[in-house]
Amino acid sequence: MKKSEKNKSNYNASKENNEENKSNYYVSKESNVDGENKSNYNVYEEKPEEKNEEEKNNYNLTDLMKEEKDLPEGTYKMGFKPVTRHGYNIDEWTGAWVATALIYQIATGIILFFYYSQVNPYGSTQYIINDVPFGHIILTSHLYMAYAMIGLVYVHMMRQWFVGSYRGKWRWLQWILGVVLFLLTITTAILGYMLANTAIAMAALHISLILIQRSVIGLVLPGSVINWIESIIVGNYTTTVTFSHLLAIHVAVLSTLMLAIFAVHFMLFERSGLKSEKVEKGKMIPWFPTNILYAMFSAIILIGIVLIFSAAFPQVLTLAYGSLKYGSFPVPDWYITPVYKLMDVAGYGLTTGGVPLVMGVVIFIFMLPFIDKYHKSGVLERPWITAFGIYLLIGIAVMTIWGYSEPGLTQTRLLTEYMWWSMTLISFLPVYAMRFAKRDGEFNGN
Amino acid sequence: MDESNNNIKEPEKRAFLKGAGLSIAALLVGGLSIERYAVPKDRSVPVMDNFPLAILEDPSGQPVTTSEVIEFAGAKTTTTSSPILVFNYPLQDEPTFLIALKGVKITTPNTPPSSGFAPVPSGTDAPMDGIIYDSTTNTSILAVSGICQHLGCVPPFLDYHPGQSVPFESELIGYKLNGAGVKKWPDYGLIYCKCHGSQYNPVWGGRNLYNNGPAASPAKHSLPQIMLATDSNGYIYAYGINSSNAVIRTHLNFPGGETYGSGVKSEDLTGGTAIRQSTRSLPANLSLYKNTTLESVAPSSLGTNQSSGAIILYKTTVVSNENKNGLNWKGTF
Ligand code: FES
Repeated sequence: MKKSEKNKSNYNASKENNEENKSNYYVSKESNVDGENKSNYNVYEEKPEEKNEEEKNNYNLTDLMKEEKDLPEGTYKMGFKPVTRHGYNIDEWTGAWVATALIYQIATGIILFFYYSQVNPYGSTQYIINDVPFGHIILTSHLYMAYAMIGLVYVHMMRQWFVGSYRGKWRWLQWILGVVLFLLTITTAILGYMLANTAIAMAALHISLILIQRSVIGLVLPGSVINWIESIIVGNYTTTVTFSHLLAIHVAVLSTLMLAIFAVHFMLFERSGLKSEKVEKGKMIPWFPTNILYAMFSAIILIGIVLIFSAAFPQVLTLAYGSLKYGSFPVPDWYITPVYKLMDVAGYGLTTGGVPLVMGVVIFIFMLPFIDKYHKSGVLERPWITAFGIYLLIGIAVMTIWGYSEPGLTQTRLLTEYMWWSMTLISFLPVYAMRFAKRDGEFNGN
Repeated sequence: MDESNNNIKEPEKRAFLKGAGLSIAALLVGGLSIERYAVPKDRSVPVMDNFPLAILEDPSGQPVTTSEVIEFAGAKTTTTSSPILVFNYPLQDEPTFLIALKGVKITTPNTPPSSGFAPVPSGTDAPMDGIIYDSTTNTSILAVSGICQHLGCVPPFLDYHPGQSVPFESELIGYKLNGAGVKKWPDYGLIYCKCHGSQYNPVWGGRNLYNNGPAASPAKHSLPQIMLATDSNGYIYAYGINSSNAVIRTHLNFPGGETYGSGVKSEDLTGGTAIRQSTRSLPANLSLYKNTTLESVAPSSLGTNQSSGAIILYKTTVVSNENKNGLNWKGTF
């Protein structure tokens, strides 16, 4: 009752509206009386009398956004849920930004796709920059939005990590799909980065291929599987075929997968709702229009920020593959440098150190909902999970910055050990100390 | 809905599971044959049977001569910067360095050098097979693969830095221009890989992996040596790979690619595009170092790529990062 009153004020669900509805055969008498939106399925009782009446067009599009009630048995709903005020806290919206980035990437990617040519990758990229109207800003913002997307994926992931919203109902599945999306995002970004055929990009391609062959991946999987994986990436390895493959994987395969998995990820979220709020009668803010408008505004802000950066720092295309230069060179993109540096500092070689380490961390993140056995979900109630999250955060930041400033510099085992253990200390000690302090405080307080 | 699921009778359930299991098994069996269909037929098929005999040309199509190379890129111990000289061999997109060292006769070491730093080989031994040695100026011209043996970085990330040019990245691992001990940048410098810090010493010719610096190379093998020969005009030809050495990094065919010795010669030339054929006529004779003696041999004796019994002459372009001494060699490989 309360709810419908609210709806009324929100949507002008006034008398006219009801009168209009009257003409539609499905609205029952009672519903007009108390002004409640009874839905279609009351029809069943009244059908005999209205049998001959045609279904009328409804031109009032806001009706589309009205809540659907009393769906017949056997209906599966994928709904957009209302949230309380709490749901508009900024930290609940990290996923929406990532989604914004994804949509922006698809939109700009389609535009770039009109002009990119895998036959002349570097030349066509230059063409986009120099000759296509708005080409430079679209290309730059496509790059920067990719940066933003990866950064926001990290933010989104770590936020759920600390809040502990990867357990319960369908959240575990949502988390796992999220990790898949994370991997897809990074892979798609790296492939996109290769598409311009710059020297550094081709170094990345060669290195990836040899890593597949020569690291544990190549040692564990049979040769024919490796050959198959490689031929998916580069075909017969001639230049044109390589770029055709990279392009197809970037624009079609991975991005479609990403979009599809994102849809499921999002629907699972709508199914489970926000972790941190209880559904309260009368306090729910309907999905339309508040939620959608909020999402659109935050999207516009994100896109605006990216566009401002693109305008201020237009992308400079680095050295083409095959050109020669004496001196210093571009370093890999920042989201690659942590892994790159990890190879340097693992201190135990690529096969025994770097690659298994990266795979181990990814598997840990994957399994997190099942590894976390704590019964409560506060930050300090799950001390080692929290501490390990902090450890990962520091690790990624340190590796990124270090990798960016000193790429390709093998570190000694001693320095490596020193770094890992000090990071362990920095992340674990405060968490346990704070937990102790909190317990102590509670104890004294009682 | 759950209830209705549970209403399915046990035998039917079992039949369903059997069917599902069977179809998954069928998929797996079918999947085994997928590689055959999914992998292009021309993948892993060599683009040529043997290493090509290729004449080295400059970007304008003129053959380059030994004296031009020495003049253009000859490095001494006092050289502060040396232009990069690169040509594609044996396939396109496979850069090979051309390095000229003045005052060095590269010889075959009896044992791979293992300690100390860059000994300039004694002048009494014969030059190493596959290099070009100019005795009047005591200069060696060496060609080694420009694909790093670690993870395959190519020029300019992998680059020759002569004696007086210590790259910033190598200073970070402790190399110094001058100074006592093993941290000194060698007299003739190193081929240094900026990707992860592999080092190769060109003075050692085909056995160039260098582990005597402050940090070991992550690479495990030397850069393979590409064999060079000259003709009566002083033109330079590449005709194969030194079989006592390693395999070009991208030619490792998984698995079992890490072969040495005779296996190297028959490494597969797959995964790329052949270099272009030349319209020039074959040189009558080529002079080259073979078994430590200077020999004059007919091109047909080199076992290079043929088509119906005739040697094919290929061409490849030598490019540099700059133009020098009136030689317009600037270009991309
Ligand atoms: S690719 Fe050259 S050192 Fe790693």
